[in-house]
Amino acid sequence: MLLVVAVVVAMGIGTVAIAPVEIAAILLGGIGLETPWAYSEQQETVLTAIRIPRVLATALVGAAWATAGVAMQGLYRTPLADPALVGLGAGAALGAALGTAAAVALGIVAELAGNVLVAGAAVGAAFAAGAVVYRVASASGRVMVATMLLAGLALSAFLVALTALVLAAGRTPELGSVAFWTLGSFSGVVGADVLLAALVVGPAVLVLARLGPRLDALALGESEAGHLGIDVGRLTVQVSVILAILTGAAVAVAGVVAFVALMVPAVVRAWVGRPHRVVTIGSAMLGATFLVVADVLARSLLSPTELSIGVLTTLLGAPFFLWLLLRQRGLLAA
Amino acid sequence: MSFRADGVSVRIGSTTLLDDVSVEVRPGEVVAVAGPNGAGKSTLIGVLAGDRRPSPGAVMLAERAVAEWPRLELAHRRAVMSTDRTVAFSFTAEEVALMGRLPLHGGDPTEADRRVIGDLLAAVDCAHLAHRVFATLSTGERQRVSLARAIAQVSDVTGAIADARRHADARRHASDERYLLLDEPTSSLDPAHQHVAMRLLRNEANRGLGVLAVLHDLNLAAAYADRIVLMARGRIVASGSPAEVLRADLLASVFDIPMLVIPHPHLSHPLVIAEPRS
Repeated sequence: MLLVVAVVVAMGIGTVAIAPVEIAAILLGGIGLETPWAYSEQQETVLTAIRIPRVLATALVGAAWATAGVAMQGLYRTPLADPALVGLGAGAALGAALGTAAAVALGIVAELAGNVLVAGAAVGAAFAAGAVVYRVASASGRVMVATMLLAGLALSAFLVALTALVLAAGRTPELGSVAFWTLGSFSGVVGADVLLAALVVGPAVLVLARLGPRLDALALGESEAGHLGIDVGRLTVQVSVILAILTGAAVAVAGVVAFVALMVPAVVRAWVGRPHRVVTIGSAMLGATFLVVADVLARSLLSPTELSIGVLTTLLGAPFFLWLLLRQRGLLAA
Repeated sequence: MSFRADGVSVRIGSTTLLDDVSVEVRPGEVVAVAGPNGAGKSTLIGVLAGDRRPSPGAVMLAERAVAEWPRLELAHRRAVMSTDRTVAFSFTAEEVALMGRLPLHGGDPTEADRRVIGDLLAAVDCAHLAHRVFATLSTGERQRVSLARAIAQVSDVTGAIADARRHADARRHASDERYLLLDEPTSSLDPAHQHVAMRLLRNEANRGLGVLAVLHDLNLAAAYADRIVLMARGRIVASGSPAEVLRADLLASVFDIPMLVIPHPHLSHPLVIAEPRS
């Protein structure tokens, strides 16, 4: 409900304002229904070519980051994991930049094949980065949260530097800027991005929700989950793949948007409940709503200048992370 | 019908944790494993649970090696209560206990499951804590909730089987032998709750469960166990009824402290008291 309101309002706000009734009229007009509400041709073009793809992409990316957070937190059994902060996002960005470079070289950039290549490279690189972090942070059935955060920090810095190197060496505008990949932006989103993201994010979220009860049991510990009949090794791989898909898809569309994955699941847990199935679905909804609202603010706060979406989410999320750390201090020291 | 370890040994490098240990627990029995720190009791639980592979040696549940049981079927047959009491996220005590039913419901707990959990939480005197966050409970309270979770996995399965949504496998094996392995289930409990926990385990055994528990308190073992297995330095040094195993000379040499063993003034089992050296 909140999501629908946010989407409609977001579609209307901008340099060219469009009222909710005008949006309804344009959409209904598009399928051949006449309505009493008048709208201009400019409004119609802006809505269908720019606003709708952008808002839908924002909602999908918000859902992807939030559920990627649920996946990673479930895997590491801590609310402190954000794939955008601990190397997976940076890995996906490097993969996406390399994928874009390859697409440019092959002459398929801005085509569907090119988009698939970029997204695939982002997912693959996110998985590789995730595997490195997991390898460093886990030992004999235990994951060490502090090690995960530190290893992720170092890996992230390394991968961002590598991305900057690739972008500098590539010398093509299609590759995007370091700021785009590290702070995120929805200003260049097109319809094809939305389609691709929807095809990937939807199923990944549903599979993650199905694994929910097993992630609940994993909260007891790896051997305890094993005693309950769960194949923990297999679950770890399944969740890691979903995590990489969600992170890679989100980054391929709009770069790294930090802290959504951290804030949204924490709010859902406190608000709706702990079981991972509920947290997954709730986070998808709230993540979508949250990022749609944040993007409206990003493009209207300093209008006509547009802020990077990551600037807003970080301004909100970093203090939130510190507050979470403060609350978890006792558990981390243990 | 039994759950047993046959001549199991566990070595890490040059350290021998278990040396040719054989134990057996049958349905309806409470077996207590006792011994000083480092005797290999927890390692034995790990081997029986299937967490550690012995070499050489075999662990057999219903005449089939534990390593060959499919995970889920094994989870229907035996539950494990370890000494780890950490649960991530703010799950409530009831939610944690309900996780014990996961092998039975696969993610959608039924009313029957909730009833079993409600009864068990009441049985361990935790009904009033059901909606509290598990991580905020005291050590002893968490231990009682964990006990309820472990029992829930293998107890009252028959009552729930009428439910058509039961896992097909759980239905098929409803009348089969089931076992409960516990590593120091009473270590953080006050005297009253130690007896609450042991009486509950005794009742579950009387209803057909096979219970094997590591216990440090020899008097609890004497009061509730059918047999006591006494371990020291990775080996079994004595095994038998409480009266057979709880002998002053044997206990003194195993625990390295003088032990007074006297008949309990008004119960039929021995009373054991460690005496300070003069």
